[in-house]
Amino acid sequence: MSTENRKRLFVKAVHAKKAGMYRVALVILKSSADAEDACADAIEITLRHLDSIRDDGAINAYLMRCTVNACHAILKKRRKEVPQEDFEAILPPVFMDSPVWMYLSGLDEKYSVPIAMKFSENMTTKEIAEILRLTQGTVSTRISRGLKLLKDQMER
Amino acid sequence: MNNKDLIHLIRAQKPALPDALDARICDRLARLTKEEQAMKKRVKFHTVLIAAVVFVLLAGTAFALGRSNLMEYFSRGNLKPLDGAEKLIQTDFGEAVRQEDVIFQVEEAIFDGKTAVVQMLISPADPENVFLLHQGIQDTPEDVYEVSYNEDEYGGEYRTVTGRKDGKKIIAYSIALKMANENEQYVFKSSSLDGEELSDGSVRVWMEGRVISGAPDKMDVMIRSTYAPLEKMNDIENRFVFEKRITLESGREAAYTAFEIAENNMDARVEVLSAAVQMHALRGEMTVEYIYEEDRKSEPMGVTFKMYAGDKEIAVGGGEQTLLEIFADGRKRYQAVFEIEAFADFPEIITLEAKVVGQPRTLGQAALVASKSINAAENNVQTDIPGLYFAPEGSWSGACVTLLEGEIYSGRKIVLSYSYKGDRMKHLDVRFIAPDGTSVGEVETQMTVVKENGYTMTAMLTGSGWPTSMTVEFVLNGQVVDSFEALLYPMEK
Repeated sequence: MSTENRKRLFVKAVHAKKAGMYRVALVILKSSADAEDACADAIEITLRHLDSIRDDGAINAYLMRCTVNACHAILKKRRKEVPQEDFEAILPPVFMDSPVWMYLSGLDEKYSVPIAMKFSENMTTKEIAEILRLTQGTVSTRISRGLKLLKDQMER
Repeated sequence: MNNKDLIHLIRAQKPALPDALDARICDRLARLTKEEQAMKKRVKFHTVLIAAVVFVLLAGTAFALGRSNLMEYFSRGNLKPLDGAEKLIQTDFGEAVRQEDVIFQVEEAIFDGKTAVVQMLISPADPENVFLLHQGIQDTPEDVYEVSYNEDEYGGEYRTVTGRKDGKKIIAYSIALKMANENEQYVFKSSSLDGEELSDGSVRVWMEGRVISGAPDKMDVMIRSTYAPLEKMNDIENRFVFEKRITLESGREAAYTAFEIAENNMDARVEVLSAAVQMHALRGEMTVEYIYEEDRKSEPMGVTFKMYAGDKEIAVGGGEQTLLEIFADGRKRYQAVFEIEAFADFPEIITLEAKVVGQPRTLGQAALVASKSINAAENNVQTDIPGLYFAPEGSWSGACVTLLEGEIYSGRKIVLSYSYKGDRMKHLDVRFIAPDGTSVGEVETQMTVVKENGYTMTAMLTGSGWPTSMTVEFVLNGQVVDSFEALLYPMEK
C-alpha cells in the first residue's frame, strides 16, 4: 500500500483508538497524566515504524500493543523512582465518576486489561489475544475470572 | 449482580477523555517534526508526513485525497513507478452496470506482469436515500450511525450498526479482486483495498494484487462484489453478487538481479543467505533469505530490512515474511519479500541493513554486489517462461506438472516453482540427476498453494558445482511421472 494511503489509515486508526488506548493505559497506570504520556509514546512509536507494519489491518492492534508496552515502560521507570505502594498512596483519584472502573483498576493487570479491551472497547477475544500475545482460551479465562473477582470486590 | 449488569456498568461508566490528550499527542508529534528537520535524516516527504498528521489530528478530520486516475494512486505513494508506465493503463472495460440499488463501473486497470491495480467506481442508484457502507469499515461513530448492543457468550454485549441517523438506507458491500480461473499457470492474490468516498455518495476503490508465482504476459482476473441491505447482509441466499471478468495485459519484460554478499557487518544473530531483485514497471520486488537467531524478549516482532544505494534509502513498501525452516539449535530461516520502488537501472551495489521491528535499533549491515543481471530479450535467451534462469531445452509441459518459474540465487541455490494437477494429498518428490546418473545436491520441497485439484510447490536445490545440464524428475510413489532436461544458465556475459 502507498505511504499516503497508509498515512490516512494511521490517522483514522488514531482517531478511532485513542479513547481505548487512554482507558487501557489509565487502568494500568492509575494516573491521567501518565496515561496521556503512554498514549503519546505509543502513537509516536507507531508513526515512526509505520512502514514496518506490513499488514494494514494491524495498525489498530499495533497502536494498542504499543500502549501496553509504553505503560510497562512507565511503570518500570516509576518503580525506580518511587516504591509502588508509596506512589499509589499519593495518586490523585482518577475514577471519581466511575466507581466500577476504580474497582477494575484494583484488579491484577492480567484481568483488568482484557476486561477493559473487551467490554469498553468492544474488541474481540482474537484481537485481544493478538495484542497481549496470549491464546484466545487464556483471554476468555482471564475475562471470566476477572469478572468474578470484580463482582466479589464490589459486593463486599 | 449478574455479569450482564456488571458489563453494563463498565460501559456506562467509561472514564471521559481528558481535554489535554489531543494536545499531548500533537505536542509530541510536533517535537518529532522539529527533530527530523534539524537532523535532516529523512527525505522531505517524511517530514511532510508527520506535519500533515499533526494537522489532521488537530483538525479532527480524516484525509480526503483527490485521486482522479490510476497514476495519481501510484504517485501519492513512496514507490514511484517508472516513467512511461502509464502506457500500460487499460480503460476499455465497457459501460457501467446497474444491479438493484448499485451501479458498478470499472474505470481503469494496470498490470506490469507482477502488480495489478483495478480502479472501480461504485455508486448508489439513489444517493439521496441510499448510503454505501463497506463491510470492513470500523469507524462508525454513534452521532452518524444507529447502533445496538446484543448479548454475547459472557452474558455481556457486542455492538452492531443498524442504520443511519439521517434515515438513508444502508447497502453493505464487500469487493475483491481475485484470479478468474484457479487452474491457470500463475498464481495471483489480492493484496490491498483502498477507497475514497466522493461527495455524490459514490465510492472509488482501488484493488491491488500481486502475482506470487508464474510470470504471465496476460492475466484474467475477476472483480467480485457482494452486497445487500444492511439487515440482510448475513442472509447468504438473499445477497446480491456482481462479477466482472477482465483481461489485463502487461507489456514489459521483467529485469532480474541476484546479489552476492561482498562484505558482512551484521550482528552474528543475522545471516543473509541470498538477495535478489525483480524489477517491473510499477514496482520492484526484493527477496531476502536469511537466518535469524530470535530474541523474543527484546525483539518480539523480529527483524526487517532497509536498503540503501549509497547514502540514499531505497523506498520500501509492503511485504511479507515466510518461515522456511527451524534448525535444531533454534535458529530460523526466513524469506522476506518486499515491494520496492521501480528503477530503470537497479544499482549494482546496495547496502542491506537489518533492523529490529518496532524499535530504532539496527543489527548491522551487509554490502551486496550484483552477481548477474539478465533481461531475457537483451540476452537472446529463448524460453517460453520469461526470466527463467534454469530452463528446459525448448518448451516443456508435462503430463501433470507445469513449470512456473526457475531461478538461481547467488550461485548457491536453484529454486523451481511448479504446479501439479492431481491428488492434492499426494506429495511429489523432485530429483536433479546429473548426466552420469547421480543425484545432484540436496532438495527441499514446500507446498505454497493448495488448490481443489492439485497444488503449487517450490523445490530448492542447494549446493554448488552443478553440471550445466541436468534432468529434473518429478516422482510420485517411487515412479517418475514427469521429467525434463534442463540447461543451467546464464552463461558468462
